[in-house]
Amino acid sequence: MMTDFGRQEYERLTEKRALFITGLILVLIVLAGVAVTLGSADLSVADSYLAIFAGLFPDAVDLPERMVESNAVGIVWGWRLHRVLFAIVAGFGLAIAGTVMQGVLRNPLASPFTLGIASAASCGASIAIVLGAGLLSGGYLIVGNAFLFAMLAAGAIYGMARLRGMGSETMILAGIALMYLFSAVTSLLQYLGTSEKVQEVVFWMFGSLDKSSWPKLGIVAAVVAITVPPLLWRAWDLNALAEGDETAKSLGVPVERSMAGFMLAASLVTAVIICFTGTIGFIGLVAPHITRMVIGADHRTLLPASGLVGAVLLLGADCLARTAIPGTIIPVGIMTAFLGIPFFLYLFMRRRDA
Amino acid sequence: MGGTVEAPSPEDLRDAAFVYEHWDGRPLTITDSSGRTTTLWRPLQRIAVFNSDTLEMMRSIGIEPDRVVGVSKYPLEDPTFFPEYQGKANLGSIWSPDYEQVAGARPDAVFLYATLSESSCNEIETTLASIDPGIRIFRFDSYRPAVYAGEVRTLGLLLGKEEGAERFLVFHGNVTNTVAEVVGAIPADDRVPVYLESWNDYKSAGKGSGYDEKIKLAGGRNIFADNPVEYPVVDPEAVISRNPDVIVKIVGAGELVFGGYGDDDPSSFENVRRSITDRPVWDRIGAVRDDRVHIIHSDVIGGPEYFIGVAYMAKWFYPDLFPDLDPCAIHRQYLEEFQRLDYDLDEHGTFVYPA
Repeated sequence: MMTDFGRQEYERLTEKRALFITGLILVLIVLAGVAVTLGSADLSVADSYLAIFAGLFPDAVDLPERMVESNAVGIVWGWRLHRVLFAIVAGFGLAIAGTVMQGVLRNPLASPFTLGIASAASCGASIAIVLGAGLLSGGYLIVGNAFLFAMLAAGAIYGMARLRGMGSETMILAGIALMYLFSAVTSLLQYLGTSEKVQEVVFWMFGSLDKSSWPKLGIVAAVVAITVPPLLWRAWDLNALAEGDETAKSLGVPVERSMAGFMLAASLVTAVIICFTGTIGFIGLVAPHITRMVIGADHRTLLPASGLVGAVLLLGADCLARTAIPGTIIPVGIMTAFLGIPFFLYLFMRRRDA
Repeated sequence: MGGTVEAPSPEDLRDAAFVYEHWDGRPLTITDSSGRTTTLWRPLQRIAVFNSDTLEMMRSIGIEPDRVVGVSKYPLEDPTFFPEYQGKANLGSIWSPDYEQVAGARPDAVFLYATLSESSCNEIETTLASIDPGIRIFRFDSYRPAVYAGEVRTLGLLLGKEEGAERFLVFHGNVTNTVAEVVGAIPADDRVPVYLESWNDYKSAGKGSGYDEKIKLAGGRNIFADNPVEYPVVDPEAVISRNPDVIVKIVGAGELVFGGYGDDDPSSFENVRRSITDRPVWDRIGAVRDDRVHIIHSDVIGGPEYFIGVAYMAKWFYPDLFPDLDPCAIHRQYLEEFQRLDYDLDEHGTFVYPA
């Protein structure tokens, strides 16, 4: 009787998970379909799609003069499409990285923000903007610095935690300490910088998809494509880790090596995304929680599902960001908070009631 | 001899006439302030300008407003100073550009800053290239004294406004040379020590900064010229101990957004001035004691009108050496003759205090 009941329950849950993931994919497709038609250029829905096809098959589509005049193909291909795809890939990557961090550290507060990775990236970017100093030069000065500092922060936390024996609380404490340190450096630079440079730093820290481009999308997509499948493959280890180090060890999971591997992959994904967008680390905190509330904590489905939730959140937020005030693009980092936090709190309250 | 030759369009004829008149019938090769060299076969007829300082400089040399198809949001928010550009496409700002508006305006050239927010401007260049590789990019600062005259001349050539550029340069040179000649004769030890403060309290100007350069042009000795930070926040004690003869405070940005062309009420300037003279122990500073604290709006010191501010400062630093210099008259001539604005400087605007 008991086992029977458990199986039924499990099957019901499996069904719910499948339904949730399918639903998310559908929402994402619809949202992407809408997103490519949004923008301040005077292009109708049909115009936007015609422009997409004209870009794919320049010979097959006969563009009306009016669309050639308004540079429709350039706008859609050179600006909208990669931005939409970037939102999807970045949202997906950030959410999965956040889920992994929360899983490994067994702490619901773990995210690129609380681990200091986001503020390290901001600090690196500020140094590039205000002092013009960095490893790479030219167009990749800011990006390079942001990435380097983010990875430096991840490495530092890992190193410190390693010294004191890899406790998850140690890592979070170290992360918060680092966050304050990097924020202090950023504040100092803002204090000393010219108003234009301060403005640039502030805009960078808002987090936005304005800087998206095809090559950047390529880099982010490649990193996500390389790091995420192994994470999904090893999702069971995360379940074991969630039960505590002892349990995980007894289940044959090499705890320290796994934790290090997971953290490294999650930090890499986060760093490569936020170095291009600025800090939109918030997705990494909220998406896993939203998903966990709906389909439970089994990382085998939690990881891909929260990735999809992250993609929907970021793309949805960007759509709103581009249309809320006509002719003005609100930085998406601000919009994700407007969109995600009320939803997050709503789910939270509802669960408390139950 | 069969074959048909398509007749040139009116635009072709117009452009060809331009090329013969202004460029000697040859393509124009031009180097902008970022060092990039561009060759043009036709004149620019659809210009998008992110840099409102360059927009003002273009007006100084007499550009036709209908050759501009888009401007950044700042001129659009300032109908008093840029009345003829209201209604142009809104390109956003260099920090948050609206690419769809830029591309939709089908510009043949986009103007960006050369050194201000360089990375943001680089980013815009890259993105525009992926939207429409045909758009030419030109980068000018239009606010830096060291390159100002050169930029006017280059813009004149680029836009076919050589005569307008030369006329404006004569006017500009008159002011800057007059000041330079007089202050050049003052020995270094006799130069007036000056404390300059931007719109943030105690935020001054260090070595090599734009304001440091302008104090020098006006013949002053910046008391924080030795500070390696470009815009350092200084210790009030250091100001007291270095005891400047003149204090110049800049308003018009940050928390002190008032004055300028759209504000006729000098009371805010008065309040700022009082807040400086009332600072504890500052009554011991020479500038406060001798009533030589001046408030100036960033419009006439920070941007393309910097030379008007330099004239004001020179007069403040050395009133006896410049009995005939009339910065207000220079400002009036600039607005009437070169900006072609119907603006009564006697009735409107607040730029300096005490006036």
